[in-house]
Amino acid sequence: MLEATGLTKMYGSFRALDALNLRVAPGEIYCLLGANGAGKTTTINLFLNFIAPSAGSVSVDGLDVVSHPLETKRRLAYIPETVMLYGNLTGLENLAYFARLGGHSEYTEADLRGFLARVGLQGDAADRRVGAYSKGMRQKVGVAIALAKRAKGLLLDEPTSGLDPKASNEFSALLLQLQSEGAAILMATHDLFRAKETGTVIGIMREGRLVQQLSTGEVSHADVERIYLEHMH
Amino acid sequence: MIAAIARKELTSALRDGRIVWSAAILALMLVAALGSAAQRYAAISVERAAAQQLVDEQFRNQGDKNPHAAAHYGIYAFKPVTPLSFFDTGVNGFTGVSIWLEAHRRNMAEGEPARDATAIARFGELTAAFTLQMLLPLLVILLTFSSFAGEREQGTLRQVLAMGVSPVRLLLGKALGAGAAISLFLGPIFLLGLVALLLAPGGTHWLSHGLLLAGLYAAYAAVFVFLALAVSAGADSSRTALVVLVALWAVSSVALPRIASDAARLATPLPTAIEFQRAVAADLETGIGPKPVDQLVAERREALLRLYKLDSVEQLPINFQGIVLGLQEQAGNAVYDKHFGSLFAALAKQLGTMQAFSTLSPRLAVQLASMELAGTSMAAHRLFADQAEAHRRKLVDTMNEAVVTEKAGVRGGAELWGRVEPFELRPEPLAATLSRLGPSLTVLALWLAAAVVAALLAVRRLRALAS
Amino acid sequence: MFRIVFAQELRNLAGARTWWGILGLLAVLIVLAAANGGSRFARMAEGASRLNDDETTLQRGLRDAVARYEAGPQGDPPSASSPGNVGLSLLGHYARLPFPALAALSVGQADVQPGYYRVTAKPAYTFTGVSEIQNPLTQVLGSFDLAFVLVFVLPILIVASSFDLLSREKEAGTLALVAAQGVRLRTLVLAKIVARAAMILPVLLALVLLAGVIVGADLADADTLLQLLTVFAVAAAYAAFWLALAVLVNSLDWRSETNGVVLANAWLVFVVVMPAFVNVAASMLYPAPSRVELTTELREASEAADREAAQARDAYLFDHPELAGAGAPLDEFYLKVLASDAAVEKAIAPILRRFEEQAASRERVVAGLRYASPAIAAQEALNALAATDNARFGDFSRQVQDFHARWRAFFSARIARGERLRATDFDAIPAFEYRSPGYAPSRQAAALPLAFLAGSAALLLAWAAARFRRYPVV
Repeated sequence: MLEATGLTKMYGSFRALDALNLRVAPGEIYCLLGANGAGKTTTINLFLNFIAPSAGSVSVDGLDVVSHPLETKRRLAYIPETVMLYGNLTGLENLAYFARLGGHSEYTEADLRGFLARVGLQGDAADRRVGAYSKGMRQKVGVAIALAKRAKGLLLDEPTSGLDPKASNEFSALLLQLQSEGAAILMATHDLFRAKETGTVIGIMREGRLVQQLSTGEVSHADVERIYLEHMH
Repeated sequence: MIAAIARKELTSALRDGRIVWSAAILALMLVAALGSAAQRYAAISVERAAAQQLVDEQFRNQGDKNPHAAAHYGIYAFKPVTPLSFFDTGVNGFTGVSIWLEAHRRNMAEGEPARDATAIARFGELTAAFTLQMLLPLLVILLTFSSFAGEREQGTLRQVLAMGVSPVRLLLGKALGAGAAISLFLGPIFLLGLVALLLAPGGTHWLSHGLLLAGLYAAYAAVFVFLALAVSAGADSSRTALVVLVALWAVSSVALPRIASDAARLATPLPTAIEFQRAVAADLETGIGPKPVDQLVAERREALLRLYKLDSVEQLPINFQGIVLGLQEQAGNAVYDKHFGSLFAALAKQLGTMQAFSTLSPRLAVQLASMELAGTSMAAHRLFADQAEAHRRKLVDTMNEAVVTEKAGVRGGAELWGRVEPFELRPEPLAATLSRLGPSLTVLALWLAAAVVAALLAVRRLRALAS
Repeated sequence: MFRIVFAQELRNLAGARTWWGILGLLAVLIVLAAANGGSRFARMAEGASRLNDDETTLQRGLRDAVARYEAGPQGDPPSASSPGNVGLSLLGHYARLPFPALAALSVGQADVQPGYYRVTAKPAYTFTGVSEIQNPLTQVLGSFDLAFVLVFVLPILIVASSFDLLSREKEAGTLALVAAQGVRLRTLVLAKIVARAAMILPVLLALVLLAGVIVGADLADADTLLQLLTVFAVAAAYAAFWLALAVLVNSLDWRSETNGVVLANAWLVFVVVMPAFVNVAASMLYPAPSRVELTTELREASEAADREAAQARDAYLFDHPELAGAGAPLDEFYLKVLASDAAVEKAIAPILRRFEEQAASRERVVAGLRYASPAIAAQEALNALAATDNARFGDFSRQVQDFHARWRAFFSARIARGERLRATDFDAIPAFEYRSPGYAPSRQAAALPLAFLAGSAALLLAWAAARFRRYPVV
C-alpha cells in the first residue's frame, strides 16, 4: 500500500535520503527506527508530497505521490510529532473541521464526541479551546482526526513522544485495532519497546540509508536493542 | 468544502482579539464619519437652497431699471451639494461654492471652504470614503497576512494539506471567510448609510449610485483579500508577509496618490490666474472671430437699414443698441469658451495623468471612481460651472432681447425680472457618470484579476513545511 | 557587555537586506520629494517675479501722459491725472509673499492660501477672495513633499524595522541563551535601540541636508543651516517616538505578528484617525462662518449702499473732515464710489470680523490639540519651519491689509480733496515689501512640539523599562 522505490532526497550536496526501498502492506505496522536526522521525517514528508524526491518514486495505493498529490493524501492519515491545532477553536470544532476537510461530512456531533472519547479525551475538555490544551491532549485530538479519516494508510511521526505510559499504552491498542481493520501503518519512532511490541517490521535508518530490516516476530526485545546500537556506531 | 473552510475562518477571526479591535476602530471611524458628514450635509444643503432663494428674490425685487443694467446687477448661482457628498466629499472642500453671473464676464467659482480650514485638514477629511480607502485594506491585511504563512509556521497548514484538501479550494475558502468577516463588520454600517441616503432630501435619485459605490468598495476589498492571500502563500514567513503587504499598501495607498498628483501638475501646468486674465483680456480686446465686432455691427446695421429701407437706426422699430449688446456678448462668449475650454482641457489631461498612475494604485482608482459616483468630482463641478454659464447667457440674452424690443413697450421691471427662471442644477443621468468611470473600473478589474491569478499561482506551489 | 551586544546588533542590522532596502527607500523618497517641492516653488517664484510687470508698465504710461500734459497743457487734463480713475479703475499693485528656499520642504498651506493679492483702492473684500488657479483634485490628493515622507512614511519604515525587536529573539529561543550568559535585558534592549538610532539618524541627517541642497538652500548661510538642523531635529524626535513605541509594544510580551498588527493600528490612529478627529473637533467648535452667508450679506449691503449713495457721501466727509478741501472741485462720481464702498465695508465688517475670530479660535484649538498626535505636532512644526503654515499667511495677510490702507489713503485723500495727480505723485505711489520675521521665530515655535515629541519618546521608554523588569525571557 505504501511503497518507496529508490527514493532519494538531496539538499544541495547533502544526502538526506539515499535510495530507500520500503514496502508496507495492508495490515502491517512498519516502524522506522533511527537517530535524529537519519531521514525518518524526510521519508514521511515525501509520502505526503510535502517535499519532492530528487530521485526514485514513492506511491500510495499504487498511485504515484508526485503525480497524484491530492488522491494519495486522501488515502492517508497523518499524525505529526507535535500536533498543532487552531487555538481559537475547541477540540470538538477542530475535529469537525478536519473531518470535513478529510471528506467526511456525514459525522454527527455524537460521532465526533465518540472519536474523542475513544482516544481518551475527557468529556468537557472537548468543548474547551485548544489553546488551553496540554501537548498530550493535542496529541489525542490528532489521533482522533486520524481515526475519523478512516484512511487505508497511516503515517505517524514520533506519535508517543510526550505521552505518559498509560496514554502510550492506549495508543498502542488503537494502533493494533487499526491494523486489524486492514490499515497500512508507517511509524517513525525512537521507542524501541513499542516498536517491538506493536510493529510487524522494523527498519533501522542511519544517515539516510535503510541499513537493516527485521521482522519483529523473529527477534526479541534484547536483540532489537543490540542490533540497533550496533548500527549506531 | 469551501463553505466549511470559510466558516472556520470566520469563526476564528471573530474570536481573535486583534481583529475584533481593528474592526471596531474601523467601524467607529465609519460611524463618526457618516454621522458628522451627514449632519454637515443637511446644514449645507438647507443653507445653499436658502441662499439661492434669497438671491433670486433680490433679482426680482431690484426695482425698475434698464434691462442691461439688470444684466450687470447679475445674480449668484450657488452650488448645491449632492446627497452622497456625506459619504465622499471629493473636491468640494477645494472648489468654490458660488459663481457670480453678470454681463460681459465669465467668473470663476469663489468661496472655497479650504481657505477657512486649518492645516490639519490636509491630513484627510473624516469621511466614510476616506476611512474605507485607507483603513479597509489594512483590516483585510490584518485578517489574512498570516492565513497561509502563519499556519505554515504553526503547523496547522501541514495538517490541513495532509487531509488531501486542494490548495485552490483552501484559497477560495479563506477568501470567502475573509469576505464574510468584512461583510459582518461593515454590513450594518452599509445599511445605516443606505438609510441615511434614502432619508436625505433628493436621496432616492442617488440610490443606484449608492449601490454602485458599495460594489466599488467591495471590489476594492476583494483585491486586497486575494493579494494578501497571494503574498501569505508565497512568503517564507508571516513576518515577511506582513512587512511586504504593509509596504505595498503604504506605497499604493499613501504615497502613489500624492506622486500622481504632483506628476499631473508637472506634466500639464495650468495657467496662473494672472496669465489667464491677461490672455482673456487680450483676446477680448482684439477679438478672435473672423471679423471684428465693429465690422459685424456695421454689417448688421447695413442689412437692417436695407431691409426696412430706412436711413438711420433711430427710425427702426427696434432698439439697435440691444442688437449691438447681443453681438458684443457673443464675441465675448466666444473668447471665454476658448479660454475656459482650454483650461478644462488641461484639467482633463491632468486627470488622465492621474488615471495612468492609478494603474499602480488601486486606492487612487477607487478614489477617482468614488468621487464620480458621489457627484463630488471635478466633472461634477464642471457640470455646475457649465450650467451656471448657460444660465448666465440665457439671463443676459433675455435682458438684451428686452432692450431690442423696448420700443414695443417692454420695460425693465418686476415683470421682466420674473421671466428669468431661478437657477436649478439638473443632475446628469447615470449613464453619463458611468461613461467616465471606464478607466478606474478597468484598473480595478485588472487588479482583481491579477490578484486572483497571483493567489492561484501562489497556492499551486504551496509549501506545507516552514523552512 | 553592552559593547559586545551593540556590535552584534549592528552586524545583524547591516547584514539584513530588508534594513538596507528600508534605508534605500527612504533615500529615494526624500530625494524625489525634495526635487518635487523644489520644482513647485521654483515655478511659483518665477511667475511671482513677473507679477507687477503690467502694473509697472501701466504706471509708467500714465506718468508719461501726465508729464506730457504738465510740459504743455492743451485742452482737458488727461484721465491719467484723475486719482479716482487711476486709483479706483486702472491701477493695482501685486503684493506678494516671497517664500524662503526651505519652503519647498513642506508645501503646507501654500497650495491653498493665496501667495499674492492684487491690491486696489477698492475695499479689501474685492481682492481677498480671489484664488490662484489650481486643480482641486491635486489639492485633495495632496503633495509629495519632504514633510509627507517624514510624517507619513518614516514611521512605517521605523515600525517595519523594529516591530519584532525583542519578540523575534524570544520566539527563536536566542533570548533565553543570551540572558543565560548574564546579559541584562535592559542592556540588550538598549543596545538594539542605540544600534538602530546609530544607523538611522546619520542617514536622516544626510538626507535632510541633501534635501536642502536640492531645493536650493544656501548651506553656507548659518541661519539656513540652523533651520535645516531644526528640521532634522524634529524628524529625529518624531522617529524616536516611533522607535520608543515599538520598544514599548515589544515589552508587552506579545507575539511578533501581534506587535506588527498593534503598531500598524497605532500608525493609523496617530497619522490618520487623530488628525481627522482634531479637524472635525476644530470645525465643530469654531465653524467658519458660511461663505454663502458672506456672499448674500455682501449683496444686500451693496444694495443698501447704492440706494443711499448720496447721503453716504456727506456722512463720509463728516467722518473725514481733514479731507474736505474748502471750495475744491470734487470728482463727483468717484466720491460717490468711495462713499458707497465705505458703507458696504461698514455693513459687512461684523461678518468679516467673525471670520477672523473663528479662524483664530480654530487655530488655537488646533494648537492645543496638536499634542493629541505626534503626527500633528510634527507636521505643524515642519510647516512652521518651512514658513508655509497658516500663521505665516496670516502675517502676510495683515501686512497686506496695512499696505492696502496706505495705498487707499494715497488715492482717496486726493479724490476727496479734488486734487489732480502730478507726475511726481506717480513716483511716490507706495510699493509692497514683505517684512519677513525670518527663521528665528519659527524655530522658537517648533521648540515646543520638538520637546513634546522627545518627551513622549522618553516617557514611552520609561514605561517600557518598567515592563521589562517583569519580562519573561522564555
